Amino acid sequence: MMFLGVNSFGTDVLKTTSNNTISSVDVMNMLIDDIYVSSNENYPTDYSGLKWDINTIFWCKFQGNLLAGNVLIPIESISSVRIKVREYDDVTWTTIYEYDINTVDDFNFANTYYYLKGNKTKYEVAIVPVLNGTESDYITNTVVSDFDGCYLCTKSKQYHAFINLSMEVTTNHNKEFITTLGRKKPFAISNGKANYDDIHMNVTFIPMKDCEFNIQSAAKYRKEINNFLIENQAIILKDDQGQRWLVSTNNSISQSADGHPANVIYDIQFTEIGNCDSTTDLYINNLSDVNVEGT
Amino acid sequence: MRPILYLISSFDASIGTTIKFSWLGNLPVSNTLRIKNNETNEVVYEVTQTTMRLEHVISSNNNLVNGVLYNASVKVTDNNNSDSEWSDVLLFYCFTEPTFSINIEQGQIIQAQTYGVDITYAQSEGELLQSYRAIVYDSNNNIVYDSNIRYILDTIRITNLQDNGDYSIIVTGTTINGMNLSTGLIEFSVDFIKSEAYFVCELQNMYSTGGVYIKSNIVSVEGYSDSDVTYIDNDIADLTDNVVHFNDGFSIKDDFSLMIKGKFEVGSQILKLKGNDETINVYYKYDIIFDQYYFELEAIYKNNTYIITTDVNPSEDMTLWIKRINTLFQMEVVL
Repeated sequence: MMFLGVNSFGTDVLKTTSNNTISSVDVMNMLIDDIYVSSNENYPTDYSGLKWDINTIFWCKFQGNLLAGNVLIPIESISSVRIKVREYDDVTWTTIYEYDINTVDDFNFANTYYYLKGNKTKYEVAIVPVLNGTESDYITNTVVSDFDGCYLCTKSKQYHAFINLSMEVTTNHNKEFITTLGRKKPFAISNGKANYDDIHMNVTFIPMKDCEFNIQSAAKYRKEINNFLIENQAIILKDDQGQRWLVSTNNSISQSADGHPANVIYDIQFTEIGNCDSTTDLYINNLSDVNVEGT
Repeated sequence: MRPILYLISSFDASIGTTIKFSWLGNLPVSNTLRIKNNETNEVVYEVTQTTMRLEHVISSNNNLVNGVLYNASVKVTDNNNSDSEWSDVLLFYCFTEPTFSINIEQGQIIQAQTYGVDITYAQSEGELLQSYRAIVYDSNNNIVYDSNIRYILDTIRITNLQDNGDYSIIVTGTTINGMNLSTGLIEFSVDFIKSEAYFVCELQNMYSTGGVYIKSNIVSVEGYSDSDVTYIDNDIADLTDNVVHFNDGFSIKDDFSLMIKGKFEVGSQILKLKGNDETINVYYKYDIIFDQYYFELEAIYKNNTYIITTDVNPSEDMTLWIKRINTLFQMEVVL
């Protein structure tokens, strides 16, 4: 059936053309069922096997409209796209980003989110087109979050440490025991709902360069860390055991060299000031730009 | 001894209400309720009802007027036919029943996992809303959302609605003069599409940086036509006298595969691809000398024209594949 380089008269007419980018496709003079374009040049020519994949450029099925994308919503209806995340099997979605859509190019966004728990915690992430304030289809995928050591994160900065890492966690709550006349045992009085952690962390911060310690920059890096820690900014603290807190540094931060001038161990006290799962806590602490759910 | 009136919430005079009181004396056989205009002290209502219940029903047929402050007192007649003293008076307002509704209708299908519920409140005499509360139940009558008592009218955002779930919502409220409001139980269902099959959301754990890389692969391409498109069975577009253009939201670089399926008009151009310095035209033709149908691909690049053809035995529907591999074009027809 195929005549590669041979016309119906048996003459070789194939010549090298170009690899130029094609930006316009017109179809006409037919009753058309489908048009499908893929960057996979070896796509199997079995019509029934067509599917959307990472290589699909567009696919119009002409099912009553001329939509040819993988989100079957007219472009002009989409005002923004939300990115949501939740632990797998959890019921609560949390919006982490919202991108305004003004042109087709605005759909091409990417970001790295640093607040997820580690220790191989499975997450579900959803991309949600928003049509004039109303959410449309949830397009979901899953990912397993994992890392080593601990991270201190804000919206714009992340610091990693894993040497000499130790944490001591104290959970605080208000309870008093009152002894009274004529009663052998005291009353337990719990005023308020206080329930927060103090985290006492020891760790060494050393910059990495090409997967090796960059000792020369260690002092400068520690100065940067110090400025980060004393900024009046809430921090997400997370470790490779799957623990995570929304904290603020408490009091002064001490450093002491242990054996080597660059092996400086920090002694930091954090106090938990919010809930990492609360969109409101993240928002008011300047750790998120959106507060859609208001949880 | 005299009875004691319980608090009288504001009510709509055109509807009436039931006023309750307490009484610790002999068995009551009737009670008399007297209502006066609080400003003029004119008696506007004085009715005796024969009942042993410690309540008095004000029917819709009364002389009360909405927007007016009244005072009420009650007395009881016991089984010895002796009257009690009048109770202390209690003030209350009559107000037109407010409009109290939400933007969910009975039986509505919500196509989202999160929905913003807007509450509408209006009262013609200016009675203000004191507080409100929304509760959402699932099909087993478990509470899945509770707004708790709120005082400022704002959109209530219900989250975590499950696909194919059946729910009901009730919003209750109170006006500043104690008028009770309720939307009643409104049932709704949820139906949204989870397009998991699409490779829209690309994720990657970044072990060395502690983050998760999230990339959108949303492809939003929409064609447009020279004139209105006629669709056949909502599955096929009639372009016999029409052209559909796709030229926004994509670019085809380097190697590619393009498939087009349909019924082609003989002797016509069916496809046109355009890029910088290059135009690719595809025709469906008939060679009368050799009695042969064939597709012809014509690539025009910098004023040079290159052509390949592929013969075909015509059928109702044909699928034409065009591939560009290392600048070389191929065509294949699948019947």
